[in-house]
Amino acid sequence: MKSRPNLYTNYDKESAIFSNNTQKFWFAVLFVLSVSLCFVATDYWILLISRSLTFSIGAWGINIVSGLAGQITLAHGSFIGIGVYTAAVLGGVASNSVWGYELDMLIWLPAAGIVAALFSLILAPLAVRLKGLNLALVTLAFLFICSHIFSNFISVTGGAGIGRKVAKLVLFGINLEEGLAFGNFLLEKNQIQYLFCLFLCMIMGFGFKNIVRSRAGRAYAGIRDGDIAAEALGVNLFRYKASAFALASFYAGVGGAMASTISGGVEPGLFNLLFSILAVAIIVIGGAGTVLGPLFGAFFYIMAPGFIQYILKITHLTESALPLNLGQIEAILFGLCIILFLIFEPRGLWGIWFRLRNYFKAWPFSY
Amino acid sequence: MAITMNDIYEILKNEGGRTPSEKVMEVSKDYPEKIAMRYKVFGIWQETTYKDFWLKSNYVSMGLRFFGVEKGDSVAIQSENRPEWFFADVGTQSIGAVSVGLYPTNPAAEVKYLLSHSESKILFAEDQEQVDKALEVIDSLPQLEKIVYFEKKGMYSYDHPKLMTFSEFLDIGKSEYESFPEFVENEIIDLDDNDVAIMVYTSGTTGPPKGSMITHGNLRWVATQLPYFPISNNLSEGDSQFLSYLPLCHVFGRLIDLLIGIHLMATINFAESIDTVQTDLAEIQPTIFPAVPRILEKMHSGAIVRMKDASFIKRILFKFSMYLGDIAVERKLNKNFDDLLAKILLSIGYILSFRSLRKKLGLQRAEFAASGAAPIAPEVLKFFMSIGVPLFEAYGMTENCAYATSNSPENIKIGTVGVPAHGVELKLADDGEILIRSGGVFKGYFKDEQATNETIDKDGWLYTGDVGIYEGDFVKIVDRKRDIIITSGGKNVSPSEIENKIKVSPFIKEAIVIGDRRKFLSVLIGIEFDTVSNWALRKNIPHTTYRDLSEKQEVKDLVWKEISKANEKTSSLEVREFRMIPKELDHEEGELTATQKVKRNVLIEQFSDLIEEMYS
Repeated sequence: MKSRPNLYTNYDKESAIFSNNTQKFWFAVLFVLSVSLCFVATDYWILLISRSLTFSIGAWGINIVSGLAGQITLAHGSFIGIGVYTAAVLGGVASNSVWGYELDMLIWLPAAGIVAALFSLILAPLAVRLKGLNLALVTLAFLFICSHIFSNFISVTGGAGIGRKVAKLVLFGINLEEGLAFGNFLLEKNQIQYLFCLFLCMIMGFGFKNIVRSRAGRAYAGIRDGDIAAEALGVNLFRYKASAFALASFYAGVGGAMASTISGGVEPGLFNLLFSILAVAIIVIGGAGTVLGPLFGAFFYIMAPGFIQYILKITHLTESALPLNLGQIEAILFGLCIILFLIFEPRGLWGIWFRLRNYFKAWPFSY
Repeated sequence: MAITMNDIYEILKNEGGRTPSEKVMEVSKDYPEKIAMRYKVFGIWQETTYKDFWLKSNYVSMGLRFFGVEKGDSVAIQSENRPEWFFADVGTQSIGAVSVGLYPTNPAAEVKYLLSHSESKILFAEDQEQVDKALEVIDSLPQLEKIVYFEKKGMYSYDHPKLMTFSEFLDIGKSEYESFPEFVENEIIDLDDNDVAIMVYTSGTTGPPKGSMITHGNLRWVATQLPYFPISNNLSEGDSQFLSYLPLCHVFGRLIDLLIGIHLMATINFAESIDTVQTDLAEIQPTIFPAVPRILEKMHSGAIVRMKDASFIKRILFKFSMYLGDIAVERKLNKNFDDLLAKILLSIGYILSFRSLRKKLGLQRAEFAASGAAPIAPEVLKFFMSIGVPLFEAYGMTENCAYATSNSPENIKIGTVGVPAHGVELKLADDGEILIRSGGVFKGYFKDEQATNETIDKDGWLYTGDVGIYEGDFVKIVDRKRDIIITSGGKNVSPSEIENKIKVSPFIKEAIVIGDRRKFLSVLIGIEFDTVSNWALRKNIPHTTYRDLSEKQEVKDLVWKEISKANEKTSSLEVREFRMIPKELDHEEGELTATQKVKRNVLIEQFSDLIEEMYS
């Protein structure tokens, strides 16, 4: 029914991704703006946004297992690593020390997710029996094992302190690294990469939204809010906890593989404990359990330092005799932001968005 | 194929109105897939098409026939509004039987009276609650053949031989229908204008309820007037949306939902319950909104109170908009309805807050909103006018199919009930009583020759019992003839006028003015618990129950302030004393009628100690 947005005559409409035309309209506007951005923004910003987009994919992953299903995990970074190396081996160039098969992106991108998901199933039997901090400890152990393997499995990772080149952007046999020419118009590698990240991020985002509104999503939320009650209601704990980990790892693998193509090379030391904690931090800042939260969190994590650097640069603060260098100032400000968030807006960036939206939604009332 | 309002009116003008059952049959053939009803089940509005509507009604007709219901027999329905109500009602009327609506709030004793007085053969009961009432009195109702219930919940252990579920009943009807599908359509052709279609029991503020017999002819005639209704010029779209929440056993709800709704080929959306009307309204955003003052007052006071909790900027903008709205409405009323300045002011208010306010109230798409059944306070009416809801007051009663006089959205005189409607003759008797003559005047009271003769004279004039005066062309209702107060000083006072001025306050729910043969006027006050409680919380006044709250000195002061405000505005005598009613009034205890009207006599007797206290 037009202009009766809250009149639901079937369940499909009630659980639709966009429940009304206003949302569809704004999404279309956002989409057009995002696409056109790659033609106007400088490479610096394009790279940052591309990174943010890939990080959101990873963040959605941990949001499935931690935000939705309520299982604490510290191994998310390892799954990202597994995804990155799967992609590197399948899509990367071989050298004297490392393997590489130079396969198409069509193969290595899904494979990165699938392999990561398969590895997570190792963790699944343990995850089902444990919860809370005990589970966190097990995932921590998994992280250290992975970390050790990454450092020493030289033919895959290149070894600690050295690293390797990652997968090449070759899609349908076309090498995208050299850009794409449409007549006189050349789409550069950065732009292609950006559009591809945007596309992937949208698919994965809709995927996440679909998980939330499906049977699985409701089962996850049930487990989060009370696993015994959920089991009593007929939720198969083993199946859903395992699938939460598998899905989360799939997202981690795909996000990681895509992110690695932006930086070009990767060093095994990256996937340490700090990296996993960072994943948790992103969803805490963004808003755990929400659809848009991880997106906000990832953008904040990547873009905030970018803005801080940018401000420091144009104000020429770094040139004066500050006792701290650029990286230190950046880290301090970023840390401060996180602390302020946890104090003043525990629901994260999404919470601010939520309040802002409700302010206008409730007009002219306040509730 | 979309049908426009003009097409609908053309058909009505050329072919005249139909009774509801004929019209459902007609629509089901011409527009079978049009949505007739929506009913919320587990949060989703389940739809019924006109085709299904007609089919189910046919099953009901055949089921009734199976159990021996014949032309002229009565069938009772006691249920909240829901699709089954319509199936049963239309199914009953189709075969010439008389459908009698009972209020779900009717207690067992009244159920017994209504069922035995109407001689109902079948009772359609909604759920366990209604079945229990009927079973309690079934031994004294020998003519009652079956009790058919809609809701199975809680009914598993019942095994009374006369009980039956609605689906079983429909199954019987269905197999009967399959063996003789033309039966109902043949019966409909035989329906005569003089045959009784529905019987509406007037709630009776005095004495036992009387059954008003409304004929197929009455319904046809009212439907024929539809193109001349004040709504006609305003409806823009062919698919009108109704929200059915006024009780269908009352003539107002029946007229709007069953008669007008079906004739406009509209979709009737059934509210989940009276408590959810506000959310249902917001979801449905009906195009046609009939209301009783009680509901409108509640919406008004709800909005005002919620506005007090709003943030600073919102509050300021709302106040500013209301200020503009007030100016605009005054200009509209005093000059003309097309006043340019008024339109500009209203559109500013619309942008600032009225648009979203209307959306929250569920009236954003309302193209027609009428208030009836009781007098409405001018402030409430103006509030709705200023936020842009085309609300107006109309007047009617059971005995004339609720169709007598009406304002129209473009021609309102506040405080009056408008001009006589199309086809209605109106005159004032010598004592000021309003007399009505029209095709909608009922046949008479069931089994009460004397009362009928007192109400309709030999020329067909209906004595309404309301005293009115003319203000220009407009009719103003002074009060019920028997309610008018004559003070010991000899002054004539209309209590309802003062009561309505007092009830404008969002804090006051009930006001009963007293003063017949007394030195001065006084009033009994019942507070609106929700808003007063909210007010008390903000003032840090601790309270527990209704009684506790209403006896607080602060609350009494608040009430007196509100009464003083009303006193300033009144042209007749001032109210000098008041007392708080220590409990919430209730239908089941006989203090209110089923339509939530105060039974004045009962209250005056019940609280005689409070009243005497005021005058001693």
